Amino acid sequence: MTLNDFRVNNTEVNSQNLVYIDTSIDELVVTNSIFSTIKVGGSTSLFAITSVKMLQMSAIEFSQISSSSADDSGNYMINIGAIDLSSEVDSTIQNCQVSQTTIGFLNFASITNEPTQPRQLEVMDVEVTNSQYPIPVDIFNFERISTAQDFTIRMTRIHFESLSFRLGGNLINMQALISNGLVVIDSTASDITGGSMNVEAFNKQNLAVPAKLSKYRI
Amino acid sequence: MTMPKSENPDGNMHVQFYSEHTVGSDRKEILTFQNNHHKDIQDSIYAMFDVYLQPNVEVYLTNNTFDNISGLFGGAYIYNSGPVEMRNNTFMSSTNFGYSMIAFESTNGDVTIDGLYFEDLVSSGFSSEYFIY
Repeated sequence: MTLNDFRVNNTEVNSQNLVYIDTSIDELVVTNSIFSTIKVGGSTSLFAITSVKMLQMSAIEFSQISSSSADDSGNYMINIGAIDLSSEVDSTIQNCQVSQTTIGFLNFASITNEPTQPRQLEVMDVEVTNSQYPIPVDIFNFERISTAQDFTIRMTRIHFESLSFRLGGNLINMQALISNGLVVIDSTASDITGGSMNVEAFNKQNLAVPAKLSKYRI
Repeated sequence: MTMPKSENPDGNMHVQFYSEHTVGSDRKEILTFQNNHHKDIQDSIYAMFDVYLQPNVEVYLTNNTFDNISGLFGGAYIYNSGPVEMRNNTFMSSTNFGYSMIAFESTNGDVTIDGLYFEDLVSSGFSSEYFIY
């Protein structure tokens, strides 16, 4: 599926997803799109993708994206259930601007089909700015990804600025079992209140594949 | 083939089928829906563009506006079609009560959407259905 020039303004998605793909698809491309003043609720997302082999998202603006009610949690702008690594093309999310939101940006839950060569999810040139989170929020959440193979989430030029987590939360939360799981380079975080960065194994009994931050340079 | 169901289309409704439809045929067929303006349609049971097709039917929706619609299925429901191409379509000031604003089900081919505009929409949603599905 290809989505170009998709604009959504002043819309209440409420307990639904804005875009929902409930099956495994080969390709999803989203480009040149603007999402503004949208309410989501009940653990839903703007993009909810069950499984995709190749995801490309670029040149997207998100502003004033919020939960329908103050205690809603688990809402994301992009929610990827799984990336299927049987394709040879890596997925990328790049050139996104996120501002004045109260929900997380990206949730990525798992991979399927073990890679036979080094693979990655590349996230680059993303700005998250001027947002206040009334409940705990993980802006980037990588949870329960487990593989003994060479898979990396590579984050380049990610900029966090003027963010306030009233009840805590994370800029990046990674609870995974990947030996070379996360690379963060050329990124900045400034004027952050109450936000952390968390990298740990989700199964602390399995230390054969430790979770570690392989590189973090700001 | 089920023809598109449209309740009180305001403006020119333009639906075209090129060549006769034959179930199981390998011959490519084309359904075009373009330059339509649907407005002030309340409590519709069906989607404004509601088609049940066959995999050899390509679907093109171009330059359509759906304004002030309320109903169960929302704007477009396309079932069992071939490739779908949507260009420059607007959905505005509308409410759908349970299902998708746009739904593709059992699509046999690529879906290409270029120029899709949602403005002032509310989806109240009694079930876990979606705007684009």
